[in-house]
Amino acid sequence: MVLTINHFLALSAALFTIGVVGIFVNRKNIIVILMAIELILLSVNINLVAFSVFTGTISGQVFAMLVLTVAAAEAAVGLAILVVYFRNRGDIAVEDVNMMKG
Amino acid sequence: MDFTTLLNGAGSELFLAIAGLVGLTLGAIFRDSFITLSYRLAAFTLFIAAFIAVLTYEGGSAFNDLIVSSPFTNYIKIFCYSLAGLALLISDGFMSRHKTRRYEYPILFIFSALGMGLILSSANLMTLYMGIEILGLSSYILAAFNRDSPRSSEAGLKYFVLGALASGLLLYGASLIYGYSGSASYRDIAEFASSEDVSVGFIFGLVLMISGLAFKVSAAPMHVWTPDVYEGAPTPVVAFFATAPKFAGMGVFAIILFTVFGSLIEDWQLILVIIATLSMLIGAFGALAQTNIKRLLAYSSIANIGYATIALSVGMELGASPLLLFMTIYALTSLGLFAGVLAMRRSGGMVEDINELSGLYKAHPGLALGLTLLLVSIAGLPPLGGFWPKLRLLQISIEADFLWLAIVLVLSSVIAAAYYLRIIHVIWFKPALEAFEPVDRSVRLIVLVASLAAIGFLIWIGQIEALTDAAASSLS
Amino acid sequence: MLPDIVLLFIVLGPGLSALVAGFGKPFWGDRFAMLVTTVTVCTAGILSLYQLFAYAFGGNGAEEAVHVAYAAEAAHASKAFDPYIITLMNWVDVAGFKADWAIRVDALSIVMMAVITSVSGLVHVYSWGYMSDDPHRGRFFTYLALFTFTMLMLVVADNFLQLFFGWEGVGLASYLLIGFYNQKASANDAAIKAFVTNRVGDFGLALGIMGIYFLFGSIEFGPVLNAIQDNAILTPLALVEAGPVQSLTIDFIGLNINALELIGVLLFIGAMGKSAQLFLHVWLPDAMEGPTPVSALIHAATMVTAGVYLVCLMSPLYEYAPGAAAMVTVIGALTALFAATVGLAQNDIKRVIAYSTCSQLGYMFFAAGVGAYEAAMFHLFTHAFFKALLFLGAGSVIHGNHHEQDMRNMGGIWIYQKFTYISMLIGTIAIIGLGLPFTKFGFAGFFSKDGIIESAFSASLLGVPYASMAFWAGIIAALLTSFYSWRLIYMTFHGPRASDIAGTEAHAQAHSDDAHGHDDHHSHGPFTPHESPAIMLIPLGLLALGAIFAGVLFYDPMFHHSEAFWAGAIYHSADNTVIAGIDAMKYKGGYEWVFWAPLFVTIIGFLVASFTYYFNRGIGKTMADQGGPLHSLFYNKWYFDEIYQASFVKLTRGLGDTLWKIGDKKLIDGLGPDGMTRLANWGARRISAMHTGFLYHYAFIIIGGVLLFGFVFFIVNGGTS
Repeated sequence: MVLTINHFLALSAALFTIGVVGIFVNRKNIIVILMAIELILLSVNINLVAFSVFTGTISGQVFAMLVLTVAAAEAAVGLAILVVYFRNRGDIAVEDVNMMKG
Repeated sequence: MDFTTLLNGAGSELFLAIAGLVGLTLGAIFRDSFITLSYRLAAFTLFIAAFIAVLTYEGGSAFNDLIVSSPFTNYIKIFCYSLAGLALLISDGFMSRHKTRRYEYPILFIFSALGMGLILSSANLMTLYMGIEILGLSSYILAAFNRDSPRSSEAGLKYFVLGALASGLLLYGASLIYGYSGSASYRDIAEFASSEDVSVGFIFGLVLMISGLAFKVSAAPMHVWTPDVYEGAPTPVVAFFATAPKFAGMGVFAIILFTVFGSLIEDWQLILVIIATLSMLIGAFGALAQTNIKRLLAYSSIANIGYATIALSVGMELGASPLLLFMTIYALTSLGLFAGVLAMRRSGGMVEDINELSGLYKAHPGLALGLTLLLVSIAGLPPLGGFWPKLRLLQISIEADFLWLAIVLVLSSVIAAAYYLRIIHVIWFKPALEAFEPVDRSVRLIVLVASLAAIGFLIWIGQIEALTDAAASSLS
Repeated sequence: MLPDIVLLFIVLGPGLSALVAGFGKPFWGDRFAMLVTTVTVCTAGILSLYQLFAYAFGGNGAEEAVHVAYAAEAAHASKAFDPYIITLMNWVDVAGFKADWAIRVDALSIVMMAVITSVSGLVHVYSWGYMSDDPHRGRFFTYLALFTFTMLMLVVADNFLQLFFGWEGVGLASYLLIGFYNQKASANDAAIKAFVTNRVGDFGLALGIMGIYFLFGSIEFGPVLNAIQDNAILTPLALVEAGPVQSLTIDFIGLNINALELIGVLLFIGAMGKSAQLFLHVWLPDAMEGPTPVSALIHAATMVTAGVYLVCLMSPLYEYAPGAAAMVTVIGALTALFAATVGLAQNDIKRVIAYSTCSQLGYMFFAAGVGAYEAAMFHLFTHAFFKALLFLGAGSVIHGNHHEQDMRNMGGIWIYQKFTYISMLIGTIAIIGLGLPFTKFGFAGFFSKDGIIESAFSASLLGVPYASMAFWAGIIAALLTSFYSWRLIYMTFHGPRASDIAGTEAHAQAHSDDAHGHDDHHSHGPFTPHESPAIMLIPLGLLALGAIFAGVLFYDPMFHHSEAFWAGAIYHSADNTVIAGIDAMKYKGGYEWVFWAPLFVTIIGFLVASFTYYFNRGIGKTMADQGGPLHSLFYNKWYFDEIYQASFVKLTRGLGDTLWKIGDKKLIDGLGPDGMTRLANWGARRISAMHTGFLYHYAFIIIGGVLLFGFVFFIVNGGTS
């Protein structure tokens, strides 16, 4: 079986969907949301690298490196905010992130 | 690459990046003793960056066309940097009273400004993404900056999660666009978009990008984060959120839709019309039910973004200049209004219920008058500044045969006028509650500047329109 | 003609003085307001009287020449109106619709100006005494001056718009003055009644003016009147075929009517409202709630004659609209008769005079209706003096009797108020028109009223429709006039003092009887009437002079040989020889009885009144107490108020209630403001509920938005590019 671009796209689309769904299906733990976000970014990376290979352009791979960097920063910021949040509320259940509404 | 070209293309961004890094270093060295200096230096830096944008108004390209600036981007940048600087000025008092006066805060403003500069000047999906993330990450932290407040941290958390989702969407769209066009550069993408072999995946990438950008400017239905974040985040931060990033975001929206995907207008126009309609209606109706002034202003900003989206949906020829015009007066007015919220301070601390504005005219008549002017202006009542851009939007929506948008615009404005007038009613006619605390000088200054701008718009509308027309014509 | 500046002063002076008095009063006090207005109006009065005399008797050389020139022309020749016009400024000038603020002086205006300003001046003076203890004197004088100004604007208008301004202005002033005692509910009701009744008439007037513009493309008197006289060929604005103006027809509420007839009727409806003619007369008696000087000025001498003025001004129109003229005749004659009958049975001294006014206005109208516009104007002129005299005399009586207005509670006061008594006597003799036919001995009313009756007869000989009916109505009304006028004199001034007979009982009963009857304060118990101060008596004396001499002086210029006087102001068609016919009747013989008849019935009326109210004083009261259908009918004013209450008022109120409850509250408010508010609040709650605060909901909304966009793209755009 020859791997075509479509295989990669399907994989990344599946990962992307899992990530997106993970954000709004999960109601328990915010850490899971952070993981879902990482999943989205990784799906993008698969896309970028695959496109880079199949279109023969290098910028996709450069883009992927940038995305990795940003993913790291995002995780850092996200965890930091989560820590602050936990210190204030003593809980990181998604259901309880509901002080402000309307 | 010679230095002049570099400076012309990315002068203000370079300056901001260096200033931000230097500030961080100094902060790390001097820690608490650097706080006051950092507030002042950062504001100064932002104004200098705005000044650099003025100097390099004609723009240029830098970093192998990764960054291209033009009068259009520089016009927006001038306002974004200045608005960030002004928002920083009114932060000082608030932050010190909430015991969260730290040196990182001004530096985050600088980085946000850098992010805005980058997204505006980017000519490549990579720089765009970098800019969005720089802006986004700084914003998440700013929203949660009041570490000891559960509301502030919840706002930061919500903003972060949803923001990450949105930037994920945008990024996924960008990867598709890159994949199908074979290049991340705007110019190549634009070329591809006008060719025959645009595929479904490419369009889907565009749809995802529009969704991501809509989130950044809090256009419906990607606006959901706005009320909560505005309510929870520290008020000066909200004053910043509601102004500069919105302006920059709309600018980027315009650049991407008009220049990169301008040839696909048939495909994205309807989506933008839906965004505009939803934003105007949700903004107008949502605000009616609010009692918290920050939430109210959040919905108000959603409605206003809806108005501005009209300018996007009618296409570049008609829409570019009114977009700049509208966002200019909106951003200035909005800043003034949030400064007004900062004045709502009783002995127990900040209050945010609309009724707490009662008696303002007795305690601070000048401030009350200024806020009234701003509210009248943002409601779009003639003859103040806010009226003219709205009129232009009405005109262009009719010219472009979007009668529907014109109707919704008027309807939404009427409903919006109701809640703006309600605030004016509270300010002038409700019996006074307990005494107000004194108002920071910077807050008074901002309200003064904003209300003068609202009046100035009325007087110099012709000149300002000429300016925005010229800036818009550089967009192509 | 007076110099421009003097004309300007006469017309604008009262207006300015009203402004100065109204705004100066808070700073300089009531006396200041009184002084300013009185001096201005009196000066204007003297000037315009001078103008009248100069015009009538040729005191002015230039006028003489004009007279000669006009006199040279045949009386019935069609001649262009050529009045003297000062244009003050442009008011409206839009696409052929032109109206200026102007002062247009012709014979009609000269007469009216003289009447208005002289009576107004005297009333101002009189009010110094009458209103001396009123706390709002300044306001009163301001209103009086305002009224004078608007009335003058009415009579010097040179277009229908300015006329309408004056028309509504006097309506306003009348409203303000009727309701002057605004602490009294009845006064406020009367003011509203006057205002509303006049709106009915004004509706007709406004429609008439619109019709004129529609037809002539102009609302200026000159072009309109000339076009009618010359039977010019007109091209109306729309819907009407072009053609000679006198034969144009117009579609109106489904009928195809002669356009001039329609306009004539509409304008007359306006005149009916203002001049209190039958069906629209109901406001005038109630208007007596106002202070008595107001009744004298507005509701006797001036404002109510505006309708007569309008009809005379429009003489070319009515000359060529025989149907409309017939309507004027009929309504006028009926009013003359009807009001006189009601006057028989009233007990309130002011109401008697009010119905008398109504009746006299009827005379004027039927005179105009049969084509004797001169007679109408002449009677308007003389009537102003003796009716003002009667009212001011009545005011003096009321003033002297502690604001008692019920004649049943008076009696025998001539001994206390001799001067007033004599004045009232002169006024009464003038109104009943005592005089010797075929001579020039007679009081003012003799010349003018008999002139009207003779004109009606002369017109009936010419075959003018309804003229003979008008003639007989005039004769009978003259009989009734004589009766009720003497009844008033006898009941008020003669006989024993009512308080002497019944003591306080009758007095108290009268109070409960007649709720409207009292100016502002009550005084119970016996009292001695006293004569009014000199400042009130002087105007009485002057008006008495007018009541005696106005007729004999102006009989020739205004009525008998009036071609020169009315030249260019009143128009007669070629076959209208009503006035000339009177002389023919006089000298050809066979019609002497016509001239004697009024005198005859007047004497009968006097005798009957003397019999029932002087020699057998109890009879009148007994008759009234016994009632009887005729008495009840007259006493209750033919039940007009009750009928209107049961029909129009109830209907309107019912309609209004229905529209208010269902139309306004349910439909307009329900769907409009209230419904919209509910909808907006509902929307707000829904939108607010959408923002649950839960992250997963928010994320879902965002993803939903993306899917929506995708859907829109793929389905709506068909997924092809």
